[in-house]
Amino acid sequence: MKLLALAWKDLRRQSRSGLLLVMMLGAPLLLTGLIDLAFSSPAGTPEIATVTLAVANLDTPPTGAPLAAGHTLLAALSAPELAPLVHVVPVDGADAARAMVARGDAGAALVIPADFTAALLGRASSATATLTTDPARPLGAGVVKDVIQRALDGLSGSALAARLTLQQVAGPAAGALAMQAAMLVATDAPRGASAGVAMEAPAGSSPSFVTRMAAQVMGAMMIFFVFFTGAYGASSLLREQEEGTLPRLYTTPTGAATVLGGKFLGTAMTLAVQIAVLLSVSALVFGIRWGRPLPLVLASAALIIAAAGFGVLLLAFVRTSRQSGPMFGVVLTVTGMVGGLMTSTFTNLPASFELASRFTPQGWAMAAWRLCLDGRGVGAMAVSLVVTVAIGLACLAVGVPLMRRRFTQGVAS
Amino acid sequence: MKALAIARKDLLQVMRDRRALIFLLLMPVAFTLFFGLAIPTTGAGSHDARLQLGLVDADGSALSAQLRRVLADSGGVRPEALDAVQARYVDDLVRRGDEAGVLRIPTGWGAALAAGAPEPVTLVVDPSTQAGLATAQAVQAAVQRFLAAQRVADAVAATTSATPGARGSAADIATVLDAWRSPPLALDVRAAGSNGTNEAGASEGPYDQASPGMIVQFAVYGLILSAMVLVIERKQRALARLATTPTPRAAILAGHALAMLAVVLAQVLVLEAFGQWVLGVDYLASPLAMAVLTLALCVWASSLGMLIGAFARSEEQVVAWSLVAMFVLAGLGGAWFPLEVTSATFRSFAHVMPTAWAMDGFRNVLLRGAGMAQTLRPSLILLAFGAAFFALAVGRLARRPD
Repeated sequence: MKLLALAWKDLRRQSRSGLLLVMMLGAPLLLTGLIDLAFSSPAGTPEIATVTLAVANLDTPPTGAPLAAGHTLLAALSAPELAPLVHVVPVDGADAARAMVARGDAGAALVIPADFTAALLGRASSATATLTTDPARPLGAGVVKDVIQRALDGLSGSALAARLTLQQVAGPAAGALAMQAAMLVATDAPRGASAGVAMEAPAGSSPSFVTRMAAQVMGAMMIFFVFFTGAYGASSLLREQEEGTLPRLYTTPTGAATVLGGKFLGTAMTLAVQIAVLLSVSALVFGIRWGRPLPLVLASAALIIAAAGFGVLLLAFVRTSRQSGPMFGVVLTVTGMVGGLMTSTFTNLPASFELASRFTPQGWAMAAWRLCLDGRGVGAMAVSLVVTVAIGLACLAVGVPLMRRRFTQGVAS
Repeated sequence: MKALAIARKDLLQVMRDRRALIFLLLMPVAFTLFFGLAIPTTGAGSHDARLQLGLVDADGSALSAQLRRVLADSGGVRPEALDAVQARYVDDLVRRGDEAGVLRIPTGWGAALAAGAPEPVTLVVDPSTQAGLATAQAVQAAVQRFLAAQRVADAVAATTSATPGARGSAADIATVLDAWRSPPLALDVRAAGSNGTNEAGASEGPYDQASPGMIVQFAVYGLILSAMVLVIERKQRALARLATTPTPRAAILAGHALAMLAVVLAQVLVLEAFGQWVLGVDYLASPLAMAVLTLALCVWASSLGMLIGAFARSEEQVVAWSLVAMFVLAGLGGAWFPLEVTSATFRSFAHVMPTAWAMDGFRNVLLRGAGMAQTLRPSLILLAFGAAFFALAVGRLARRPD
């Protein structure tokens, strides 16, 4: 009973700390909320702002040319279906177009050269249009580049058909045949890539990009701040010792093991409450599906053991509660960072990052939570769970004797 | 003079705290390095940043070989053939992230294409992941290029062959793809900059977002220490006692504000120097513009420190408020990721935050190579925020110095 009373007292005390509440609940929810707000869109995928494209059409078609390729390109870029991506603004001259980008009035500037039509008709070897992009808006620039490249590919296809025909046919009819081949390409409705590629999602994947991203951030931030709470909980012994309440407690008929056990239980209860609140609130607010119940419970239990154990170990290295703040802050930030908690949404990270994450308890905990989020079963999570718990127990095995020696000197157990 | 003496006292107090070095310099440097390294680059010496695409070619025809060739040339994906065992666990490979996607070319695909009745290839990809979306885009672009080449090959065959309805062979498609390597109409992409000759994207290094972003974030985080000094003075009634001396109240507040400005300025200058000479971020691209922007950022950040110091009632509150301010201001202001990638709602909120203007100023100088003209507006807005925060802080301290 005393054990429970001590744990309950610690839980109540910690729930009254504004700073701890901010760190336990406010910060992870706030960070996830920011990410959710940043990337949410009706389509559930990231949206890129429409890019204003300044176009200087310097194309001068040769006399008698059957088409003006510059105008054709301009018309293709101004097609209504491209309006959400690109807003074309024709301007006079290359300098005026580039100046718009320099002023930030346009996201990109396209200069169509004078020999554009000539190159298309084979009267010039090739022509190069120049796209000047705003380096501060690389994604928009990438979209514009893709759109223009696609339009140019369409035109180039016709020219290539004409050239290859000319290479294969000689004689007076060659010119007409080349033109016929070019027209065939130009009039053949492009087969959209979507017609050539059937998309399939793997079984059990998340329905929305943004929900998935919010879930990854929430999972990572929960682990990050749970480790903070674990360390803060362990340091309550230090604070009680400094405030003189710990020696007073030992004057009562309460054994040292009960006191230390009560402290540990209090921290574990606080962590359980923190995890339960974060999981529930994030499921309600962000629509995160955390996975199946049993794996979820096991991942939570493993996280509690690892965080509480790591907190006890860290406590062995601090002498005063004043020291504990920066010490915990630095160690938990660095191990969290190496453990992949700050890069949970990054793709294609260098392999060394994945390897390094396996040297931290946070990295293993994150691996278990990732699998849980993916809806995997206990079998798939077994390795991550066992290693996370093992790290927590190892930390306790080292930290508890040190803690006993330090906080129970002269006290009968 | 009294203001300077108070500022000196505050600075000594901050510098005596061994945590100062950690909060002000070590943590921002660690964060900058980490995020810079985490962002994949495609430059020489870096790892292949293309996304891994598993490939199951059940067709094995000459046409599918040409499609594989186009995929191999893609800048977005790196195709790797899966063996028979792996091919049975495609969903698992994709869901675990071992493969960004898996492309299946079905048996008979080439024959159907040659017969003019094309069947689609199947891409297994998780659309809820960034890698999945990027893979889908890259594969669609490659397939589109392949189909365009086939159209050209078909047109040439139909025009030059005596056989009615002749279609281009795999060899013809290969010829078209070879010819497409030097197309008649090409696109040269360049990033605008001070010299206007950079290759696209070349001017944005991995640290061009991380370095200024972390400077802005930790300018707020570093306030914990200087705001703490003010709160301790208020709690110990030192501020109230100081107010009973002949020292003008303005001098007392100016002293504290000056100390905060000095701390933030020193921090930002050291981090900019680190960015310039260690990370290769060109803070000196426009020295005058950068100096004005830096000063404006520091004035605003120190006035925020004054505000926190004036309203917080305990050291604990200083830490909590500084953390919340750091998360909200850095997150919403584009210090973590460029605002360009965020939703329209988020972007419209962002410029209510002074940090968004600071990031605009940094991006104008570092990426656009802009000068004073384009950093003046962000700097003035930062100063206006600074003046407003400072006025609020002074008002509070004047009413309740303790």
